[in-house]
Amino acid sequence: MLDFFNSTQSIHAIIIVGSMALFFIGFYGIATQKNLVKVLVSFDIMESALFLFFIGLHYKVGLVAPIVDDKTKTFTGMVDPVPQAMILTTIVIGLAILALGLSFGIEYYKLTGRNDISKMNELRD
Amino acid sequence: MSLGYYFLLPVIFSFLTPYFKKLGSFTLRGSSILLSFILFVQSIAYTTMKLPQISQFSIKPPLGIAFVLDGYSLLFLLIFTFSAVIVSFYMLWYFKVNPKRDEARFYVFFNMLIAGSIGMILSCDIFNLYIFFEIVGICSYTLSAYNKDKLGLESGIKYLIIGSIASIFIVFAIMLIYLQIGTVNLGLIAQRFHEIDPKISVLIVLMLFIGFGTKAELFPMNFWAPDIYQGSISSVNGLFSSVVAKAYLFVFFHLFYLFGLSSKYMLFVMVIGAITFLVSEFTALNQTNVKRLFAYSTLGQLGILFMALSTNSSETVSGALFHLTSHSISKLLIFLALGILIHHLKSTKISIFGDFKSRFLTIIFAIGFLSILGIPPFSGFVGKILILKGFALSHNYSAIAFILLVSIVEAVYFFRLTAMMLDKKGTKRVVHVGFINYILLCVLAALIVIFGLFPSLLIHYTDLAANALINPTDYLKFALGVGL
Amino acid sequence: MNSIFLLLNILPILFLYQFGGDLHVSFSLTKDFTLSLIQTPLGTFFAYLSLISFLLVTVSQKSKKLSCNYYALQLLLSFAMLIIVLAGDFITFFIGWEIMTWSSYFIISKSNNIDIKSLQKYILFSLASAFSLIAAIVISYSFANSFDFATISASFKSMPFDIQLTLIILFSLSFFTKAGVIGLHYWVVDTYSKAPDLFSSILSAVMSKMGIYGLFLIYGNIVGYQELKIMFGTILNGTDFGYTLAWIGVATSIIATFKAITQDEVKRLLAYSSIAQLGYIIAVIGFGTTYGVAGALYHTLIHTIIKLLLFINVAAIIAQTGKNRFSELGGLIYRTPVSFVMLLIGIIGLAGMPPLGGFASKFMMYNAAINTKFALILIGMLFSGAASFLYCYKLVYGIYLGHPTSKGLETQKEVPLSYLIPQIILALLLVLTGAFPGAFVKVINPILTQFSLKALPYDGVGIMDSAVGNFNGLFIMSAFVAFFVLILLLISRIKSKAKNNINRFDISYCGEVPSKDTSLHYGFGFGTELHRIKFVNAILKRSTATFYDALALQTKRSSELLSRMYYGNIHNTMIIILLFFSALFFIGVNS
Repeated sequence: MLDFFNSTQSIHAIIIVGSMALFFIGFYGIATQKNLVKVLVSFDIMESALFLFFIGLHYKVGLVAPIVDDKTKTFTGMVDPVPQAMILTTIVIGLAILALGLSFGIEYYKLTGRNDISKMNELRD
Repeated sequence: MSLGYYFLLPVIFSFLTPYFKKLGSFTLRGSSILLSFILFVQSIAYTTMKLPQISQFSIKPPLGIAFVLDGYSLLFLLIFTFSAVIVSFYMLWYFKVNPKRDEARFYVFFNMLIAGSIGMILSCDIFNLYIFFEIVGICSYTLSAYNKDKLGLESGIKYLIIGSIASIFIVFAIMLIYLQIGTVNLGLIAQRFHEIDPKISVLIVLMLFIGFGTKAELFPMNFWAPDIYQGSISSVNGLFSSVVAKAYLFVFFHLFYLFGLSSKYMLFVMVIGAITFLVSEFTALNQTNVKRLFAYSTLGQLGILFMALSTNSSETVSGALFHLTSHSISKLLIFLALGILIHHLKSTKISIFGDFKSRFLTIIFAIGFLSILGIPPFSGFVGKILILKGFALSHNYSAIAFILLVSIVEAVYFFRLTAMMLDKKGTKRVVHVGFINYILLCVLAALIVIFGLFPSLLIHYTDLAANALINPTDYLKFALGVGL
Repeated sequence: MNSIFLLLNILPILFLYQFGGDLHVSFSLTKDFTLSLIQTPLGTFFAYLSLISFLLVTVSQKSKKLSCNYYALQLLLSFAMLIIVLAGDFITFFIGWEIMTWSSYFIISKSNNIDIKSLQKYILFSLASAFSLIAAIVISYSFANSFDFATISASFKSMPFDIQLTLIILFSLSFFTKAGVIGLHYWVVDTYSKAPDLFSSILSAVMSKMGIYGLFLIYGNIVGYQELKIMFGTILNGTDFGYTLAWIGVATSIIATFKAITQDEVKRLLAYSSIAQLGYIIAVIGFGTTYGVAGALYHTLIHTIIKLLLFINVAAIIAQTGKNRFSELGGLIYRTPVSFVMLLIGIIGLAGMPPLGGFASKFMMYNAAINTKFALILIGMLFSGAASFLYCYKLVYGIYLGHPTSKGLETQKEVPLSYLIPQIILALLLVLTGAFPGAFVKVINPILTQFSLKALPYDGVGIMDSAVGNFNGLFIMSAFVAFFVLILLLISRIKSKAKNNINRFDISYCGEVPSKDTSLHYGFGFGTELHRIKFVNAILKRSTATFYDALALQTKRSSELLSRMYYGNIHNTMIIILLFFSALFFIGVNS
């Protein structure tokens, strides 16, 4: 049983299913929620799902993290470091956008007392 | 100068902005002008060099990251840096008449916006491209919320939400590409894109299409765009119209031709572009807010560009790039002049066109309108006739008929504004343009006329760009690091 | 200011005269576009026509205080028209065409009584015309690979028939709009009547002729009358194509004539009359015979002269009295006698009565219809020619005869000399064209050769040759002048002295004494009785305004409908993007 779960394929399957579930939770969030904070959180959930999906699919059983120290002699047996670097960058960007969005939301709330995105309709003809 | 400085310099200036602010507003404003000037002069210097040019950072591509400048990106580089010069001068006037605004906040994001836009067109690595995409995104969200009032913040929030959706699609697409091919280098992706399983490839293409199409304001995804234009200040509108939207459009077609999608998706993009054109021009007829009106006009022109750029024929594409350049100049002209008008009349209603009295501004607006409508002897005419000629050569007569018919609708509102300006009745307020703006608007108008009378000055570059876009062999060679 | 621009207007005439037919300049715009100017006999004819018109109008503008901008724009307009008529390729032609459009737009906008709706009408129709032109240009480019007239003309024969037909229709639509063929004339009347008074003369006399030039260029040069005959076949002695065109022209002239009679505004009447006269030209332009082309060209010349004369005359009266309606004018014959004589000469020409040039040109056109045996066309032309007497009469009666209908008219002075000089020159030209029609034969023979048609025989300066017999203009003119002088002498003998003492309120009818507001002028309401005739009423009742207004309304409605999508709900926008993606994804994966 454990062996079954320890195979690369089943780990990938779990990750795909799990991250897709997470993705659609986020999807559901942005489709139904109208509170700005909840929408931003939904975006973050969707992004997290993507990160999990991407990192997870690049993990293979038996490989180690791509961290080089003094003892490392060969570079075999490591997972691909590029996705991890990419995801780290993307996380930072996502964080920045989340912070920006929240700060906009706070200022907007202070001015109008509203945080419902479907009621932001003063910009119209 | 290495191409990396195009990104590095603005970032350095951006980070030094608080320090400049301490030195006084003169240094702050001067630094931005200096920066955009350096970038513009350097871009002009590149026109004399052999293209493509490459700058690699530590590791040779395809493993390392690099900036590649080919004919296609050179044209956009010139447009962006030129717009930056004009806008940075314009801000001198803006901060003079609005002394209480937070200057540093504007310049930080303005410099970063230029850096990001240039990064987007130079980067030959799809992940870096995404990073620059986000940088441009963050800067434009902040700039559109520059007026920290209800409208400004609303536009900032809306832009941010839409930007987040677009970026999720793009991240997803990049991940799928990496999973399939195992690289983020554009050259390698381009070489091996056809190896991807067709179903996955459709998914990737669609995600990229939605991601960049949303930002490039294509029809069913552009319901947000007029709001953003309405909520932000005029100079930022000018930047959105002539730099930001064009940068997304650049990436859209760069990837479109690089991945060899033109044969399969040409009709699709053309139809979407046509619908964008039609819907925006019809919608613009009914607008009473000037900023929204010109936003719709921008959307419409982007629609024509999408129609013409997707044709895969170097004549049409060259014409479209000419039209793009001319549209960038004209829209910058219109938005900057509009800013002056809005400042003096304190309104964004369409009726301000009937309320001002300034022969200079009337002429400036008329030149802008005539150029966008494609009427000789202004530059828009050359672009439009080259596009029409290209369509005619491929015997695509329905596109010609479509463009011309919708252009009449476009003429309705442009000439309504012109007639309002020329109308002698009613009370008129004198508008003082200001010395800097006088010169800036004269430069822009002169460019419109010069490119209209001597189009060969520009056609040389658009031909170069069109060839580089359609046959990216040189670009691929450099992106793959062959022979470096 | 006026004299400077007067000089600037003379310069191109000298320039053109200097080249004397050998002008050939080309300028490379880009590697694809070469702008070229080539002087052809047809172009030269129209060039002189427009340049001299501009000169005369500038002379009459002396008494108006016009700004430098106005003159500069007018000069640009004349320059644009020069480009049009000298163009050797379609890009040059189109550039001239568009510069003409917008420079005239800006001049019209300077008028005091223009409104936004009329301006919009003018510019939208002009642009529609230009866009139809550019569509035709690029389509012909796609077959000829060149914009050059000669190359396109050479490759026209090898194009498929549907393309040929499309091209002819598109070109014709464009030029018909400029000339104001019925159905496409919606802009004409408003623009002519609301433009600056003197500028209306240019609009009617010169700018509408650019449409005629375009038609000549297409039918004669690009397609060629021989090719038209091959394409469409023949009917009677003419071509099918010419027959269709003739009906369009005749319908235009009949409808516009009746509309003209019922107008109350002086310039609106002249505008409709202009449409009607251009209808004649269009009727004969497609015949493809020597007489057809000669008639069309002669009438182009005559119509330019007459409309310049009439519009300048009317502009002078309007400037002098400030009234522009028949119901406000009248009785000016004793105040402005010279103007009256000029207008009289103008309407004699307009009605096509001998001995003036108007008769010679009408004679040529009727002659062309006889020659091709288009009897119905001839009847139609004669009918509208006869009906045009009514509006000619209304014009002279409403302004100069009868009783003055508003205050201040009794004390009017003669109009300034700057208005009279061009009128006198034009009247002389009208007399000369009537007396020496043979001189014109020499002008049009090179054009006929250019269209590869048979040249007209030249039998002397006073004689115009035709299929049904020669017309001796000089003889008729001499006879008329002698007769006229005789009558004038007689009338001056029996002239009554009591005439000047009549007060217009010295009458009473049915026991009522007319008050100061009662209009005693016959010109008031002239033409309303035409509604009683069923056929005429049917014409007068209908208007293209209904169609175009409905079109505008539908555009506005669809615009409103579409702009509802952009109502700024970001939540729905997000959902639309996601749905759009899903839809595309399912379509993409399944195909």
